[in-house]
Amino acid sequence: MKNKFLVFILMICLATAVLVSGCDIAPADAYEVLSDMSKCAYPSFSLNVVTVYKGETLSSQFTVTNDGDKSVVEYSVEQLTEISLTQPADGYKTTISGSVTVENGNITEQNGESVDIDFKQIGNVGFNFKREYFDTASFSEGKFTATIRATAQFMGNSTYEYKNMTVEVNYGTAFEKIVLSYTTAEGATVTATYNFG
Amino acid sequence: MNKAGFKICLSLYLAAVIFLCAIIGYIPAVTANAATQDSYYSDITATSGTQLLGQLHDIITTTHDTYTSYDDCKDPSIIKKTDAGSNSNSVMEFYSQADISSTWGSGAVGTWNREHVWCQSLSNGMWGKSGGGGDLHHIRPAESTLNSTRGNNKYGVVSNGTPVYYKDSSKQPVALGGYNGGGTFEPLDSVKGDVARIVLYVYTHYNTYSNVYGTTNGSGISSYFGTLKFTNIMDESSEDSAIDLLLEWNDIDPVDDIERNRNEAVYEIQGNRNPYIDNENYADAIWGDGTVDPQPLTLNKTTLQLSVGQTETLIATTTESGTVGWTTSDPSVATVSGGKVTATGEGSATITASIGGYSKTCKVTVTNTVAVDVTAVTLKVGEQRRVTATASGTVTWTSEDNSIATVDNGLITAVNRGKTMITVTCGTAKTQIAVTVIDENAGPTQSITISMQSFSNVSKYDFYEWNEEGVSGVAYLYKNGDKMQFNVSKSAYYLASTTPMPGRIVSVTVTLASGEDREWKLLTSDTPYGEESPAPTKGTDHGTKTVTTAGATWNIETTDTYFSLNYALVANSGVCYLDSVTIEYEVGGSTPHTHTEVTIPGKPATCTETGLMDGKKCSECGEILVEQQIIPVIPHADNDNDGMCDMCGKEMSVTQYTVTVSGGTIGDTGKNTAIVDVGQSVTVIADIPAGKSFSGWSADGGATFVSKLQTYTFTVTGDVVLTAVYDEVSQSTTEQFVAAVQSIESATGNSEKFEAINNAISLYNALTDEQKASVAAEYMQLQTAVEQYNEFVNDVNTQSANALQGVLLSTAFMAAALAAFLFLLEQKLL
Repeated sequence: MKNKFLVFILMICLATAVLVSGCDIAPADAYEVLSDMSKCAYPSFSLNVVTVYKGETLSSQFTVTNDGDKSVVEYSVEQLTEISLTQPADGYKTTISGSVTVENGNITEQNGESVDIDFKQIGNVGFNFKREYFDTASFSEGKFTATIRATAQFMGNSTYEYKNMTVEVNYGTAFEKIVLSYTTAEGATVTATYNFG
Repeated sequence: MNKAGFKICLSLYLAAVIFLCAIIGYIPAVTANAATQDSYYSDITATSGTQLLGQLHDIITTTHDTYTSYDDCKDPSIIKKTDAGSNSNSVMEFYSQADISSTWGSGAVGTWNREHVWCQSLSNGMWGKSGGGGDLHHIRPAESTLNSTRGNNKYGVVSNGTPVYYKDSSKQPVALGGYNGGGTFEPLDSVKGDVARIVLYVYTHYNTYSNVYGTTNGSGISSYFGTLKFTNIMDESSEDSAIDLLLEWNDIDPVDDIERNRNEAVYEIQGNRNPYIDNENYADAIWGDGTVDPQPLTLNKTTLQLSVGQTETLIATTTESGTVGWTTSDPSVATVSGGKVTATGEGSATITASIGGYSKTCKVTVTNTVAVDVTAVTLKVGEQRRVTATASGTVTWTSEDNSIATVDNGLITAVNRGKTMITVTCGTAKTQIAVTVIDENAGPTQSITISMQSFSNVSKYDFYEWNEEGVSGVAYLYKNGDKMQFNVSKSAYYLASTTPMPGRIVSVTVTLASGEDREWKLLTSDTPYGEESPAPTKGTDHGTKTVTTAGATWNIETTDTYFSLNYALVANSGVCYLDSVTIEYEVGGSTPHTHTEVTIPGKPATCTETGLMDGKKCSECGEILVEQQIIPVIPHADNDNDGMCDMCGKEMSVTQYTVTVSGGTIGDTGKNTAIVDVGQSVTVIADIPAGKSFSGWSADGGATFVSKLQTYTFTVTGDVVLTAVYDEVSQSTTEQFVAAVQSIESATGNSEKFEAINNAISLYNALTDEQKASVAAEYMQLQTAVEQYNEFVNDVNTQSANALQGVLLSTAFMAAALAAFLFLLEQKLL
């Protein structure tokens, strides 16, 4: 009786997963495939963000490892070093590194140096691949490239203004690599590279 | 399937079901019902549960500006606004909702009384006649009999209860007010909702909140609500059943216009509202299974305190699509871009976030900041000290007493012995540096303090003698307890010395005992003062000061030993009560004077002794004004060729040579020239000046050294001229710093500029205080360069951080349904 109940639940779960996930399902609309992939949970991935502003290039790396409701983000953020009149600075650039554990949207542990980034905001939004969000878009085998018209809708947030945004996605049954490029309202060019694997 | 997998599957299933139900409308959306909520409840972000309860608590307590008293709850002018009856002479009785005479009856049958809906005796001591016991949202008019019959019975459901009536003065029932039974009171159905919403308000407002974090509006969450329990006031066996009954009453008796109007009236008086009247869905959202709509736009902060140059990013949360627009009311105070607020100048500005017809504001208050690297300095007369200020804008420097110390752009110069304060100002921000100037030539100081105790037999306004530690004087005054009382009725009110202080006077401090601040004038003299009317005017006038209870001090430079403190000659009105007069005087030490130069005669050098040039000294104090310079020994001379020195008679047959040193001495002779026989061993010792380093002995006056030892011994084989060469440490380091600062401007590229600035800072930090004082202008340039560079760094780093944040905001998929995905993947279900 117990096994039958479990099988029943499993079947319902499968049906539900088909409805809400689609990670290994091939929908008719390729955009839905990408949107579904962005809803998938990836056990780990890395993110490299390169910002160029006023001639200065700053590079930051994030490695995200997920475990249940918990995500561990190891970060390494490059910044220009401020100068103090009382203490000479060590180097032109400073790299701030550490790790943050986020559970259910709350930071439960933080190690290393503090960085002015709200890790708690990592939640509840993701890339949205809808046909109407793109100006130009092309699919080739395992690759999607596009220029993005509705940047806020694509990014899932309207906190920041994104301009000249392009995206290049390599995918198989899930994302393999995403390269996102854009310009901020203040003129900084940003290239974010996600590697999933 | 393991247990964890089962849970994940079940969660997914339920999530999907809820999702689908929401789409097709199985869960009806509950919406707010009052337009007035838009502004009052604009900080509510929670939609249910204890987070919503905590946020409501924050709002109704922080807006509760006026706490009325229990007496206010019977004030006709207030009752007329909150509980007006159907005519001007009546008020509305709470339980029966019937008119009752507006006459306050203090307990008489047929008159009204003040009813604690949540009885004071059931509040666990949370209120008496104030706080919750005087809150107009809580206290309601009730007919006296009805009130006393309900007593402190809890609310609940009564079976076959006794009807309780509002009775008139002849004890005849006028209207039904509820039912009593078994120690429980059940209100009429039409009043049950009123009671429930008052109970919920009181619970939300006055409960003891523990474990609250983020207590400001918007994020208050309480995990425990301590003292008040619903079972305190509801006759139920558990909190769950008590709240169920309250929710039921809230449902069966919806909010009516009487409650809404009363809520508005109390809001006008107290500043806060009963949220359960404004939105009857709040109760179900907190304690039931309902929700309320989130606000379409919220800001994470409603106020910001920034210093000029500081930035902070506001976060807007919206349910609308599109981009949030940001504006500032005054860009000279604060600018905003993408939510990032940059303080540009002192003042206040309002930052507005807008989207889809909604807007939220945040008031930004900007002030300057200023700090100094030292808060107290002690300097010798003539000494200088540079103080560095770190400020958000232009700094101004002022000295309270330029006769003690002056200040010029951070460079403090000690002028005379005494104490003063240097004030450093940047806009409205300021800080102070206490400066104490000491005079090394001065002797130690002592003081005497004159008070009423220094006088005897004072019985009326008159001249009296004072005596204190061997010094005597006179004053025209009167005694008022321990206070010395002076007046303006006679021109003789003063206090002076008739015998000399043991040393010259260096300061006089006068302290007021009580009464209004008064003006006093200080005179000093080298001859005694006496009983004079009007008050004496002779001597040096050191000016007038306002004497307060904190005291007023004259720091003076004089050789005088007599003083007179004058009250009557200053434009005062009325009586002055002095506590004490303290005279500080110098014991010994040199007396300030203008030097009188006299010549210190020199003497010529001989072939055996060095000579001295003329010098100068002060004939009064003996201070050397011009040092005597040494004249080197002159060579022996044998002009008459008799084999003997013409001057000293020394036999000239032995070859002798002259050893001359500069910057040192020969052996322990203290001399710098010697005639030495050939082959003799000579030791020279370099006399290293302070602040310099010894490089070596040079025979040619240049950088070629014959020895680098401070003590150098050699054998004389000929005439020797040795020069001790010293590194001009201070000079070269200072020059290096100046050159480093100049190189900043010409640096190309930001990394090169960084290196140039860093190098200049290192050089500056190695300088002595005197050296720093000499490069004040270049240091200002360095400060400016650092500020400009850090602005650039801050700009670049902020853009980078914003870019990272923007990317991370869209990185949610990494965390969302990971566990389920992994499990399904492992199980080969996907």
